[in-house]
Amino acid sequence: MNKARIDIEVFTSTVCSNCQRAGWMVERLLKEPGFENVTWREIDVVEEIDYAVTSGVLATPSIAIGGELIFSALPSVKQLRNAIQDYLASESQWEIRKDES
Amino acid sequence: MNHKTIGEAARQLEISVDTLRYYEKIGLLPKVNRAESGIRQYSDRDISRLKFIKRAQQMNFTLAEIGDLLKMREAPQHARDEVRQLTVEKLKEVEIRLSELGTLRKELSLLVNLCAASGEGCPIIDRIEENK
Repeated sequence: MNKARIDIEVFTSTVCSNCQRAGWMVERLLKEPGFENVTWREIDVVEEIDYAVTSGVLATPSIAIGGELIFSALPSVKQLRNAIQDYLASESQWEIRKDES
Repeated sequence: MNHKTIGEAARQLEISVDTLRYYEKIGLLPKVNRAESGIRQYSDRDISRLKFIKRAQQMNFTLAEIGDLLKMREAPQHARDEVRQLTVEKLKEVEIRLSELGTLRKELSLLVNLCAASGEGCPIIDRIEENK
């Protein structure tokens, strides 16, 4: 299976109605086969506002994958799954190129 | 050419009449043309110069620095090395300020969006206030 290890960051706030759902969605998705090595964390944008702003977050929930802000609103499960798969695929390609060089 | 009286210039630029006279007195603004009656007539060029002075002051540049920058603005190809150097330094300061303002804009946008997402008031701002 892929050995790529990424961080998913879910930017949330206490006043956001969809934020809890975003966290649940990520947690549930990462139990699917192929995502075992994927790590994630939840970030309260008020607690870590400097980091959130640097990451380009303008609304919650936002989701960054591999340090890149991908969603600025709650995605569907399918959209999120595809985004993670795309990222893992690009990470694997990068590792293959690194091994060949 | 369009001319403005000192009162009109002061209103447009939101600078006091006394300040306008002072800038002229210390040479930051060249002698302003006067009508036969003696009334000052500010040209478009004077207004442009005054706008530059105001912007530079808002950036906390000193009047002496602004004087040098104005020399560069009038004749960049003939400016002395010190003036060129000062302009380069001030350009860097402006770029740093712009970057800081950009970050502040993003931060405020985020806070406004968080408040908009909340049905009741703005708990985010309240929480920040509580933590002060």
